[in-house]
Amino acid sequence: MDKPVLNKRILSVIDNETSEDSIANQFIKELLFEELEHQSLWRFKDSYRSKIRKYSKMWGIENEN
Amino acid sequence: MRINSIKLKNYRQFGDIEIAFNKKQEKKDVHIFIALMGTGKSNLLNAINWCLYKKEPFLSRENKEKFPQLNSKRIEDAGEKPYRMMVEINAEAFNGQMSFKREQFIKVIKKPGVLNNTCQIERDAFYVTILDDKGNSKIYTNEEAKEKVRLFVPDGIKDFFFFDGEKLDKYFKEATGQNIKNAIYQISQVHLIDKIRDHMEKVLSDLHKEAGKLNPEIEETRRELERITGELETANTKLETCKSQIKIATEHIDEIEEHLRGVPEVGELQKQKDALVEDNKGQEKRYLRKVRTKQEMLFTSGIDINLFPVVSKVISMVEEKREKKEIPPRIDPDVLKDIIQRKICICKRGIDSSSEEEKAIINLLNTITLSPEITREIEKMESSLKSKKLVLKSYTSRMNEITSDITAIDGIISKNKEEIEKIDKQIEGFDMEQISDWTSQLREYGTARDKSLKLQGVIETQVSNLEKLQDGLQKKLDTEVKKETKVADIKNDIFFAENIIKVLKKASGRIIDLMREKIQEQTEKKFLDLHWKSQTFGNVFINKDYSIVPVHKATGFNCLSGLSGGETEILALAFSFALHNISGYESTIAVDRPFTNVSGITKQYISEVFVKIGDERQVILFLTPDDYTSDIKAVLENEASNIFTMKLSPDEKELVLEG
Repeated sequence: MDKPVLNKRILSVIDNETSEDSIANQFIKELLFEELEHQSLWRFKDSYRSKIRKYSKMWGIENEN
Repeated sequence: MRINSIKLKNYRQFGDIEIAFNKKQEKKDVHIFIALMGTGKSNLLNAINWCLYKKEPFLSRENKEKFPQLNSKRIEDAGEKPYRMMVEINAEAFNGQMSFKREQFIKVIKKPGVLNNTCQIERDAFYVTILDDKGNSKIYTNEEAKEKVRLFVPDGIKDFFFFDGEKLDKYFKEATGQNIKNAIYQISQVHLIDKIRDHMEKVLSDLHKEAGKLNPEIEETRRELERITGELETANTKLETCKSQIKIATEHIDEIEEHLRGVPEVGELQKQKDALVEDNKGQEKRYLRKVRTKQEMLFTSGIDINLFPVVSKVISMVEEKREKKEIPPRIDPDVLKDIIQRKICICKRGIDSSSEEEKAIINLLNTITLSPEITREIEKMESSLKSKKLVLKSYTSRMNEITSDITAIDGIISKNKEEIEKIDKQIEGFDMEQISDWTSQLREYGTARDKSLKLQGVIETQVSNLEKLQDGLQKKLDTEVKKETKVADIKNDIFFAENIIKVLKKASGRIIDLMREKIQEQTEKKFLDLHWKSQTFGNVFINKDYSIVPVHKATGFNCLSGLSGGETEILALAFSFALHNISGYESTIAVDRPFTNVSGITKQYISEVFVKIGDERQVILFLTPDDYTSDIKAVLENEASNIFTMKLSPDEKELVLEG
């Protein structure tokens, strides 16, 4: 209960915009929850880089398939 | 989310008070505070805002500067110790409870004269305690605590929850499109999307920079590696050939050595024999030379040499005569004969015949056997003979020497011949031609193997150097390939990030539009639902510039400016309500003096609206006794869970709550 809540409509729009790209969907949602946790300034670069690496790899594999 | 209770200590008019907002059965979650102007209604709203956001929006600037937050009674009683000023809100949230507590320790510094006292904050603290339904509690402070306030109502949209009723008629004048846009941004959380987009763009820029820095030299390295590998292969082939040659030579050598096992060292023996034969050839030449010399000497000096004994004898005889003093004669016989004949001595004295002197002279004359002439001849001859003897003596010595040499040379030749015979005997019975052939082959194979061994050493060094070079290039190639893989990865990352940014950009616009549409829909629905003249109005629009437009049903015109104070208030509440629904922050609505700008029957209608809202969420209304008229009372008294009366203490320094 001490976690901030993400607006359901934002998730719904993201779902629509990424309906054909489940990896982008997952990636954006993960970042949304992470940004929700960090309302003030935070060192985002390392976290973003590792997530981009992880998801772009998955994305590449999925696109290859 | 609703407020369960508020505790206040030394905050403005509130000395030490706790207000419980219990919802009673069969009643609405509506709570009413009735107080005269200046008693502290607005300050209760300020207390809520101060506790949550450290702000007091319902305080005029004049009052903010004029009156300290600390309760005036505490200021008067000011002692040495600082006073604790505290507001604590206990709220019910989702599936647990939250407590927001802000406190300050304030020291009052007294100075003579009116209004000269000053308050000094010694310590300032804010805590949020969250207690879940399992009884687990967690306390947050500082920035973390501020974050938790967002769970209740975020600072950016608090003005849509805690209203000043006196300003509600001007709500859509003051709440400009920009404010509404900001509120929509806040509640839609589209700022999160924009934040992600901003962060993505920064990371994308880093990725571009990083990819630019990596410049793989794969082809160059690969070409160099191929060249070195080619050279290494050639060197290894050469090495193998060399080793093979060594092996072949060794096999031949072993084979030949096997053949030659038990065979005397023919080569060596042959060498020795050849040397002996060669030596004998030299010795024989020398021998012949010596013999020839001797013959020549014999030929040229043979007679003289034969005379050497005679000469020697003559010289001995002469020497013997000389020893006997026969030569040379002491007296010349002719002189003696003359003396005897003349009878005069050489000293001129006369000698008598037959005298002793004469006898002596005759005897003397008889002793003389050799005449002076002969003696002179002998002496002449002696000298010549002595010279001859010396020459002959030298001849002899030379002849002896040559003879000795000839004998020695002859000895050497004989000895060599003996040795040659011995060697011949040793190698007798062996196929010398075959052995010689083998020996020759052995020598050739040995030479070839030595050459190959030397070459092997050189090639092995070359191979070792090339292998080191190859190893280094392979490592470099691996690094370059890794770089290339990294570049490919980064390119993928860039492509992925760019795609995400596009999606976010699209989503951001879509969310704003969607939120606007939803809020518009909800505002319209709520406005028509709450308004007592629902047939008068058609639609409520929220334009792209976020201005709110209620449309008159009959005329189809924008009728915002034609709305009464009460209608504007209803529209404002409907809009706020829509924001609440869309945002998901279904928190308490608190309105200070909601009937200020309305009169007559409208008051009653609006009070009924609050009762309706009280079905869905907590409503706290702050009214003056003038606001709480009999018609309002008739609507609210039976519906409200609590009706509190706020009064000041007799000394007018502290608030007293009744109800």
